[in-house]
Amino acid sequence: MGFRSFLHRLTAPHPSNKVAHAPVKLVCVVNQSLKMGKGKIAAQVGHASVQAFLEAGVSHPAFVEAWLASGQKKICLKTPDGSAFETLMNQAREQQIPFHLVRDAGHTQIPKGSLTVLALGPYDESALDGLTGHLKLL
Amino acid sequence: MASMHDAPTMALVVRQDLSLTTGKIAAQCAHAAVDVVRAARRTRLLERWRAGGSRKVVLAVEDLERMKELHASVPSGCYASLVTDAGRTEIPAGTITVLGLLGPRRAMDTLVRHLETL
Repeated sequence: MGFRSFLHRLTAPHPSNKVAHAPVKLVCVVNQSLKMGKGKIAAQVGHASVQAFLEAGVSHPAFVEAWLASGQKKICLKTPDGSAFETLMNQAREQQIPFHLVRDAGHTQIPKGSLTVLALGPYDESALDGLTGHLKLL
Repeated sequence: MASMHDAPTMALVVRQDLSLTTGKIAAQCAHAAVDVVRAARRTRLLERWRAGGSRKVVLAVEDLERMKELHASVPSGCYASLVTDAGRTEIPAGTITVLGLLGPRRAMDTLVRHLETL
C-alpha cells in the first residue's frame, strides 16, 4: 500500500452502509438529430458515462456502489432531437436523480456546443424507466 | 491547465469481428471508459486527463487476437481495461468486446498509431 492510500484509509469517511437494494442502472439518451457516426456516438456516451459516474459518486454514493457491484448495467436510448433533454432534466431534478448533459467541444463532426448525450443515473431502475420508458433503444 | 497538445488521451478500441450495433458499441465503450478511469483513480494522469478536456478516441481493431496483442504491449504508465460482456443482449456471456486505454498522449499515439478510427 502506498503512503497516499494509507493516509486515505485513515482519513476517509466510512463508506455509507446505506445500499440501494433495487436494481440500479445508467441510461444514456443520444440526440439523433446530429447525425453522428457510431464512433462519435460511442465517444460521447463514454464521456457522459464517466462524468455521470464521477458526479454521482459524490452526490449518490450508495447508488454508484450498487451499480458497480451489479455489473454497471447501462442502456442507450435515442431521441429525435435535443428538445426532450430539457423535460428529462427537469424531471430528474424534481426526483433528485443525478444526470449529466454532454455539450460537445466541437473538435470533430458537429458544431461546438451541440447537446449530444444526456446520461441519467446511476439510479433506481424503475424510477429511470418512469422517465425514459417512452424512448426507443439506440 | 494542460494544453490540448499534450493532454493525456483515452482510446476505446472496439473489436470489428463481432458486428455489434451502434447502441451496443456505445454501451461497451462507456463500460471501458468507466473501468479505465477507475483503474487510474487518484493519479496525476487522470487529473490531467480531466483538466485537458477528457480527450478520447474510438478506434477499430480487426479481431480478438489483435486486441490481445495490443493489450500485451501497453507500456508502463498507461492504464488498460478489457471489457467482458455480461451476455444479456446480442452476444454470448464472456465475450471480450472493447479495450479501454488511458495514457500520456505521446505513448498513446505510438501504441494505437496503426489503428483506424471507428
